[in-house]
Amino acid sequence: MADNGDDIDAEYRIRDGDYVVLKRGDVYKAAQIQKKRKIVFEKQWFFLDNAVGQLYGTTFEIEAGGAMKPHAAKQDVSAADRDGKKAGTDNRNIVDDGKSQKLTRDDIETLKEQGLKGQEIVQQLIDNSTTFKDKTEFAQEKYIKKKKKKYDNNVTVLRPSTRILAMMYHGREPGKICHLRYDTLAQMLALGNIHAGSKVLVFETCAGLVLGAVMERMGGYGSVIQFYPGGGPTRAGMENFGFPPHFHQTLHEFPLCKVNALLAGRLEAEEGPEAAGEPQEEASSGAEVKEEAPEETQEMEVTAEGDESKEKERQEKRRERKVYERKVKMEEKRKKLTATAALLEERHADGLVIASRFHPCPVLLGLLKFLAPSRPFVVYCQYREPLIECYTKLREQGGAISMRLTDSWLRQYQVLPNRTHPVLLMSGGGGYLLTGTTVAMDTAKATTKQAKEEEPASKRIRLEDMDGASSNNSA
Amino acid sequence: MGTCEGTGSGSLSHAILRTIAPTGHLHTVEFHTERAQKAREEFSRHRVGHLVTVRNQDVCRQGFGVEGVADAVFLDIPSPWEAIQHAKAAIKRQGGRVCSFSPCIEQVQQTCEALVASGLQELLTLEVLLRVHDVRSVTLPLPDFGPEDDIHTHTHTHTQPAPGNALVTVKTATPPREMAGHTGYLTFATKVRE
Repeated sequence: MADNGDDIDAEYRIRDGDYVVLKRGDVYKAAQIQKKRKIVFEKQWFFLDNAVGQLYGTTFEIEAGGAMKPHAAKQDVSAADRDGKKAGTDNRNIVDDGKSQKLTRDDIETLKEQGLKGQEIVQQLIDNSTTFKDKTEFAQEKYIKKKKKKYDNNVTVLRPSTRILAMMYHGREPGKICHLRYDTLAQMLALGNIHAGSKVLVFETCAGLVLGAVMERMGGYGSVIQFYPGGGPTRAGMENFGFPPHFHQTLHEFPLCKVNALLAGRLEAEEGPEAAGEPQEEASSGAEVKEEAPEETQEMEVTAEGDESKEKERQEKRRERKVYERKVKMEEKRKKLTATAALLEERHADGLVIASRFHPCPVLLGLLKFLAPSRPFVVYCQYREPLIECYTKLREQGGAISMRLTDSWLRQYQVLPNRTHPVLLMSGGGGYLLTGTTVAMDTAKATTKQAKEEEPASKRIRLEDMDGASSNNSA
Repeated sequence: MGTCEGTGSGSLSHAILRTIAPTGHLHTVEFHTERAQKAREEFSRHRVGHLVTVRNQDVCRQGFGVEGVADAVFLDIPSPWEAIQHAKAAIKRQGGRVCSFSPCIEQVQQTCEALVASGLQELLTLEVLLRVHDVRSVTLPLPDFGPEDDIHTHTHTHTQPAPGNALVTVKTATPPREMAGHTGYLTFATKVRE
């Protein structure tokens, strides 16, 4: 099956600068292809240069010098090969004294230096094990699998996707993503009805993973507005997806600290130079930025004499250019902010996704206002109680129906002939979700509900007691 | 992006269509003639007809009707192991993913054998359940241990509730008495590039 015409495969080829994911077994690592840049992965140092031009999904062998050599396609590097060797029936006579392997660690290092491939080393280990032939077939397979994994010298280069990155983050740095497990993330995308062409609001502190997942679903259509808590939005996780440039045009950001101003309609009044520690004059009107500002100073150069004063003037020009560039940047930023504010002011976003380390209640109540009625919202929290609070507050305040507090239970299985069973270690939890749908609020009802809050405690308890707890007072 | 699956009621089809629109295409196969026609009508009524092709055939015998176009294949059929070769053929040369859904572990075992035999890799079988937590207020009575101090019984402070009436309300979330404990096992695999 010859590859006729690279053109067909062009979009499946790895290019310099691409964001990729390196994989060995169950271990993943995000990386960017940069020639002559050393990468460390699974305790090995190597260069990704040889990946350029190869197809995504290719498995490479790490050679002694740090170069990557592609395996020929269709080579199955993971099959266990007992080759019908002799096997025992049970372990009654096998003594686990740690002495059954005759090769020492030094011996193995020597083999590695001689350039033996992983599979060959495993074969050496089998040949030098006194107990191998006595193990049962299953035990032999398990032994081979384990050794193969340990002496695996291969790396597969993958195209990033939500699945791969979510598993990577959850396996490597769960703290960075608030312990959001990949199945919970999948639920968020489904329940949030994230799809191309919609306007989605995102607030997350999951390193940008949730943002990237949402953007991947949208496929570059529609728009995403990311709210951010501090100085600027975290996008590292999103960059790992390697989206094409036009995706970034659908992404907007808005600082959380300006939400109240926006809702109250006083955003324009508050706008001025952002406090960046610079002595800046008012840059509020674009007309003031004069394009000829740096060039004007050239006229003054004519009268200067001597290198020193020329150097001074060069410095002066550089400083002025910097000031000018800063002005331009700030003006751009202000324009963007105003544009994003305009998108938000319409208050008819199609979906809201929250996944952060912040208490979800105020975040949800604040951002719900930007959603159109009859639209889904999804709130992820590592813990359950804050979401119970959200649920309760929303019930009192109104504006949301079909609310559900859920979590996802996940268990993996080992499926092998006569050895099928759930895997030993299981994930204890993947976080919780509160989902619901917005409804148009009847503002009259809202105020009467507030009056009810002042009712005496005993009366309120009786109203809320739906459990049928036995009451001493007869009806 | 191309996707192939067995149609059934069409509910999963709709979910997939929502996800792959507007540039993707779904190839769905249904061997029951009436169900296939009903599915076509529903897709059309829901204005997603242009995104999907329904074929009335047996996926185990004839496959999906397309080759080398799919990024992903989903199987929810009684004998998925019979469709694995067709699934592999339907997937692009450059690789893709397969997912099979089966209620019985024996089906899962047979499917995994077929996946391995056809050279698919990264097999992963798992079970996932969505659990609902019912948020409610629960009122618990406090026990009466009798008065603490005889001398001060004439002063009633807030912390000495009248015996027999003391209640505490707690906001909590409880699991339902019963829940769906199993629907099926999901088995995933990767077709590596050829």
